[in-house]
Amino acid sequence: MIRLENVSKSYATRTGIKSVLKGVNFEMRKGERVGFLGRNGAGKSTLIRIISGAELPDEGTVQREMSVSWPLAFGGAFQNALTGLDNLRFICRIYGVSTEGKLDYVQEFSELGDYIYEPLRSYSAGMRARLAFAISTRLSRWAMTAFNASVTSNSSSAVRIVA
Amino acid sequence: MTDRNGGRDSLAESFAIQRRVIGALLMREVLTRYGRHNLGFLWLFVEPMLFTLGVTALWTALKAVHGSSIPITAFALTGYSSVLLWRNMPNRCVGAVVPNLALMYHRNVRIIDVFLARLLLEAAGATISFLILTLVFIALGWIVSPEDLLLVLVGWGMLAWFGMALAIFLAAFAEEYEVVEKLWHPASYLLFPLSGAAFLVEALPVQAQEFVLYLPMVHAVECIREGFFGSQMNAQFDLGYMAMINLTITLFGLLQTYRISLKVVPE
Repeated sequence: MIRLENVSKSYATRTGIKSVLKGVNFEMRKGERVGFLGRNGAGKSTLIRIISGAELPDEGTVQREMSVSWPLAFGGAFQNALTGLDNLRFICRIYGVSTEGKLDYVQEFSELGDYIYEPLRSYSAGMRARLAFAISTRLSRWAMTAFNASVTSNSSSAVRIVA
Repeated sequence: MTDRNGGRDSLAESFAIQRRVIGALLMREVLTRYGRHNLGFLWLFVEPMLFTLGVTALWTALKAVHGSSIPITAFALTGYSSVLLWRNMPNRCVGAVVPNLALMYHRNVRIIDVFLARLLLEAAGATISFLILTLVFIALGWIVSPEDLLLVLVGWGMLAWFGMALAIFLAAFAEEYEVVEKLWHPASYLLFPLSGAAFLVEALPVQAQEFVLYLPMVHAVECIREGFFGSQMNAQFDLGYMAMINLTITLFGLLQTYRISLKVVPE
């Protein structure tokens, strides 16, 4: 379960302090699928970063009683100078998971083939997304994948909770 | 799998995570900085060794010691190795956050981990370089073995602490105030001749001695030299004073690191 209580977040901009989230409260359980809809700049991505713990709220608390992945498909979370394989190893090390047996799966799932030995900066956006998804689903007990998608003029963020 | 869960982890768990993350960042740093080509990560200490060798050769050739009986090779080796230790750590640490912003998407990766990984690598490079050169110079008979190894180790340790504290302090403040980075470059340049690398405190006029002894690194360099050839000099250092300065910089550095880590926005 993921529970947010009274979460607020604001950013300092050149035109003053912009409040993005104000007193957000909600709960998500395993297996639920939740979508956040809103205009550009509404705070969808901020919310996802806060849920995943990549960013800290100014006020309020985030409880994560299950494993939560990093936000996928933001383009971040990887090192462009490193190869796909080095990135896989790096992420496994950070989360304390063995790399054993992961390579074959990731290579197959991501359809990267020999590109897994090339630096990420040579990847297309699609290749990156597949790699991110392959790695995150392969790490043990992943429970939430959060991803952002740009849908024509509107964008949306989705959180899928996998049992 | 364990996470940093909003401060809910036990201290032991947090420590295990931090060690793991710093280890991963270290490996990554070695790969991105040195790659797998030619010497690879050997550059970590080959580069400072080349610097120190060059400066030692120059100073020895120019007989830079003021007509005293001080062993010039040991003087140059201790002096320049010390500079590399305290000066390179801030250089590597200032601006370390931006290139690592993408990694901050992983909630276990914090700014302090990025700093510590770079600092450990830098300290290791300077230390291995100093160690190898000392051993080689002793083997070649260019210097004699240190008279008091413990003093050398203590002085080196204090200097490493100072370098790390200064690096964290400067890097954390530079994240918020750009001017810190701009000022550090000239400051590091100007501090080099004052840092004790190229003089013995006793060789200075009394007023100058008083002034340079405000600088913490001078105390450590004097301590290291006392350990190397103390019987041939009159070292002046106060490690208690240096520890106080180190502690103060460490505290303010960590506080500011905590402040900026609340505000970090992953790329």
